[in-house]
This record gives sequence, structure tokens and C-alpha cells, in this order.
Amino acid sequence: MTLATGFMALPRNLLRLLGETVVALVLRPPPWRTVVTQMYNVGFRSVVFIAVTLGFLGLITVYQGCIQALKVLPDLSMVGAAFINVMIMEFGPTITALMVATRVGSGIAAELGTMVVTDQVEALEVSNTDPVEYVVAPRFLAVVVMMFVLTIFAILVATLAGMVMADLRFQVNPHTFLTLAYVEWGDVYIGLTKVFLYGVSIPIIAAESGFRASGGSEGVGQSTTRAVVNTLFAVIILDFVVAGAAFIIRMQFE
Amino acid sequence: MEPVVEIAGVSKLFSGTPVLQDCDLRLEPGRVHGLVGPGGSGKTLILKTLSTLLRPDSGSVILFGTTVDYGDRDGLRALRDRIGVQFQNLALFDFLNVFDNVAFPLVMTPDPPPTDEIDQRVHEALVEVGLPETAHLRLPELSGGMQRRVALARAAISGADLMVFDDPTGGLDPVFSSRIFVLIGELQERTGSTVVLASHDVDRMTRICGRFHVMDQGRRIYSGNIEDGRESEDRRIRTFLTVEA
Repeated sequence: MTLATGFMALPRNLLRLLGETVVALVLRPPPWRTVVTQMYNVGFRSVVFIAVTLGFLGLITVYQGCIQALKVLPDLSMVGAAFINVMIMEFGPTITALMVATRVGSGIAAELGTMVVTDQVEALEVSNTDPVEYVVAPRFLAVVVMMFVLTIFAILVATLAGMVMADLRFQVNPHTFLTLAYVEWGDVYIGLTKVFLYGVSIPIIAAESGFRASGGSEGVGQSTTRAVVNTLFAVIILDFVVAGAAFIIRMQFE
Repeated sequence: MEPVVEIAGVSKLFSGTPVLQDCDLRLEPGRVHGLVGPGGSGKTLILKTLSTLLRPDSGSVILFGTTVDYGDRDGLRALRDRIGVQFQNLALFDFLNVFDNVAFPLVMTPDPPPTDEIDQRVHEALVEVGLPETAHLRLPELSGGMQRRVALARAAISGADLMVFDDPTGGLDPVFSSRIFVLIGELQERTGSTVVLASHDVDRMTRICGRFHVMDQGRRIYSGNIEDGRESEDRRIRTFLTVEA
């Protein structure tokens, strides 16, 4: 398969896998124990990673935001409002998705890739077990659900970290910092839309990459790398598309 | 007698390279068939073809009198319900323990037996392969040979009509290799299933295989009993059937 053919086939393969996964979830839902185990793997095991990343992001963003704001006018009363708005609409969902894509997406691709090259997927098939239903569907559901949980957690951690920075370094009162003055329902919908689309795309792209693994450990490594690169691309592109769509929709109403 | 497997004119290309070339194979029911040939001759691919796991580019595959239709999921499920496979690289599920691996084909059937029966059958299968105390262990806790025996137990537990063993004794010591061949022979006698096994251990295969099939360069070049094969005019057939482990 040439590079161009492979590139053209990718969207079709992704849509087919998404369709098969959704059909499997609707017609033959996975056992709740399996889903809970996957939610634990996706969510709980990502908590420290996301807390550290988003915590530092909150500290740095507020620090830089305050420094830049002070160059224009000596008033930091709305720094918290602007920060929380950006976190809900942009950084919370997107940075969390990048973290999940890196940690969970690579894990799904490596796990599935290993199953492919060691014939475990064929062993499932010969036991009349659909690999999409048995392996992909529970992970898909877990990632979609846990993306919402992790994003809320990430926004809280980043906001608290930013609040501490604003208070200790710039003497911004926490009550002043913690305001939703700039947050509109439209911003929340944009954030939720992103979270949902990231949650859908990450496990599907990772699983598709895993299913395409071939050869031995080298093939698994390549499929894992491909999964991480493709999921990161997808997150950035989806971010742009949703932001652009939101901008156009808002223009219609204003 | 109607064959269990009838493969005709099967060809397969991988990245432009022919790996199966106009291959045919016919397996009569109720006996142990031995598949031999050099590495890369297509033994594993033909086993995957008759397990419905490999879709050939051309040719036909008839299992239990039914032509395999790869687009018919229900038809494939019905055929696969009658097939048990031990893969060359075992393909044990590393996220399950030994018990769950062996029980998998029973649990995943549309109408699984009661839990007590599954427990008993898994225990019996593990006793047969000499691993009665390993049910609770994870796979990394087992040696390679023990994992091979677990794979054998999993392939055999459902008592399928067609059992496929791809190199069932690879990596095992001579004593246990003999025991595995005896087990496969006993299994076939007890169930009456059709068994096909690929191996390089021709010496031990002769103890249980009533019929041999020789593969070379993606083609079947001989089918018949061991004695006739060893007297064949084709040097390749004589060589492959007289090789000792």
C-alpha cells in the first residue's frame, strides 16, 4: 500500500471502526465490570499525570498573564475571570485530551498491536468473539466518560494553582480570582463539544492504529508511535474546527 | 465419506509475494492428519485458511460441506463453533489467568454451560496437560512449555469437530513432546474429531497421524500414508517424511 493510498484509507477505516464500535455498544453492551476497570485505567491512573501537568500550566499561565496585564494597566481584578474562561473553553479540554492521547491512546494502540502480532485477535475471532466488541467498545466508552471527568478535574486543579499564584505573587484576592464573570453558556457548550469529540476520536484512532500493527515488537512500536502522532493531530485539528465553527455560529447571532 | 475440509485452488499473496499457490487439501473425518514441510512452506497459512482466519485471494474452502462465505458473519460463526485452534505462537490472552484462558471458548459460546460444568471441564483439561495447580496463575508466571500446554488445553476443551494444532510441541522437551502427541491421539479417539497438526517432529507424528500432507513453496505436494511417502520418487517428499526431530 502506498503512502497516499494509506492516507486516503485512514478516514474510511476510522469511520468504519467508529460505526462498528457504536453498533456493538448499542446492541451488545460490554459488562459493566469491564467498563469500570477500563474507566479506572483511563481515569484514576491519569489523575497524577493530569494534576501535575495542569497544575503547572495554571501556575505558569496566571504568572505570565499577570506580568503581561501589568504592562497595560495596574489592575488584575479580571485575570481570574479571563483565566477560568480560557480554561473552560480551551485549555481544560484540549490539554487534558493531549495528556489522555499520550497516555491512554498509546496504551490502547500498544495493547491491541501486541494482540494482533501475537495472534490473540485471531484467537478471539476463532472463539466467535468480535475484537471490536470485546476490546475496543469498553475502552471507547471508558475514554468518552472519563474525558469529561478528567477535564473537570483538570480545570479545578489549574484554577486552584492559578489562584494560589495570583494570591501569593500578585496579591489577587481568591474571591476576586474565582469569578465566572466572563463565562457564558456558549463557552461551556464549546468546551463540552470538544471534550466529547476528543473522547470519541482518541480511542478510535488508537485502536485503528493498533489493529494495523504487523510484524513483531517493531510493528507494535510503530503502531504506538502512529497512534500518538495521529491522536495529537486529531486533537489539534478538532480544536481548530470546533473553535472556528463556534466563531461562525456566534457571528450569526451577533 | 464427505471430507471435513476441502480446499481447492487456494492462492494468497502477501505484499506481492505468493505464499499459497493453487493449493488444495482434503481432510477426511475422524482421523489425525499430519502437515509437514520446511519452514515457510505455507503450513501455518493453510491451517489459518481452514480455520476461516485467512481469506484466500482465489480458490474455494469447503468446511463440513459448507462453502466458506467470508461476508456471512452468521455462517462464519456457525463454522467457527466447530473449530478449535492452537496457534503456533500460542495466542494466549495475557490479560486473563490460566483458568479464564482455558475456559474462554466455553464462556464465549452463544449458550455457555453452567459455571460448575465449566469449572469441572477446565480442571479436567488442565489435569490432562499436567497443569492441575496452575488455574489461578497469570501467564508470565508460567514457563514457555507450560504456556504451550495451556494453549493445548484451550484448543481441546470445547471438543470441536475440527481441531487444529500448529506446532503443538515447539519448545517442549522430548519427554513432554511425546506426552503431548499421546494426548492429542487420545483426544481424537475420545471425541472422534478430525485433527490436523503441523510439526517438524515427524517421528512422533507417525505414532498418531494416519495420513500425512507435505507442503512445499505454498503448495501441497503429497497426501497419503507415511510408508508410501517415504518411497516416493519425489526427493522432497522423502526428505520431509524421514526427517527426525
